Amino acid sequence: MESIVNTVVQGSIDFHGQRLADTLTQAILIISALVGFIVGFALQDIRYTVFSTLVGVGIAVLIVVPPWPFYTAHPVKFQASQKKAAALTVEEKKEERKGAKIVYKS
Amino acid sequence: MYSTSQRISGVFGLFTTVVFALCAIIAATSWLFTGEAITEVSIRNVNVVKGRTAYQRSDKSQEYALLKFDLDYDLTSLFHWNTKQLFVYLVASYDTPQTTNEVVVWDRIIQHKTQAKRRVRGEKNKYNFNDINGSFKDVNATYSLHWNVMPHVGLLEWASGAPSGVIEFPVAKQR
Repeated sequence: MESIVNTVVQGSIDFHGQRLADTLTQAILIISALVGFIVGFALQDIRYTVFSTLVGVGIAVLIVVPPWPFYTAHPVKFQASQKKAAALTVEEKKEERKGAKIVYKS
Repeated sequence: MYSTSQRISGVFGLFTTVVFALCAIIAATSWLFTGEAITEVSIRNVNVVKGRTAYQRSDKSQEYALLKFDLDYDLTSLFHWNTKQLFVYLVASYDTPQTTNEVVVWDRIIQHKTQAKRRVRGEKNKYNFNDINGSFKDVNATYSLHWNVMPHVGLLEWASGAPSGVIEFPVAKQR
């Protein structure tokens, strides 16, 4: 339970997710305002514009603010710890550059 | 966008910008919709009575004008999506030796298109109509209907209709 609260309140997401969130907020807010403007203009009633914009904000908050799983789908791949890399001999480093996998002993 | 609070801040910031831009566009395009308004003022009767002022420090003798008038107005073409309400007011305009005077003697707020076409009959002035000189001697006035279009967003628009003919003030009657 505590970790769920922690995840939601912190809301850390990876970089792909951040870009997605940014694009989504812009798309949702601008499209809802545009649709509201066109409908209100055509029907000559400003209530459609106000309603559409507010609904757009509501949708944007629901989709963008909570850290949904699809925002954490591309986690950053970190390199292995430097301590272990220092323990490699020169040959092992050459082999690693060639692409062989080395099993690290902690 | 790296934390929940950052995303809330970002969404809210873009929201205020979008609303501001939307209001600016609505205000800028409002002039496309305004049309012709039709008004007609006819004064049935003007009575001038002598009374006393009820000011705090003065009860001097003062002449009050009592009006009875008819109005015909059709302001429906002023109602578009950005109109919040119309403020319609009847102005009496007359010259005295000191200056030109304009006095609001009656007003009304119109909040919907259906209320914007009316024939007002036998209405009396809402507000006291008196002159600072104390008397309407040798004065005559013209009456015209003015209106103020109040938008939801944008600039206020002030306009007026055709004035009535010149109407003299009769000699004051003692109450």
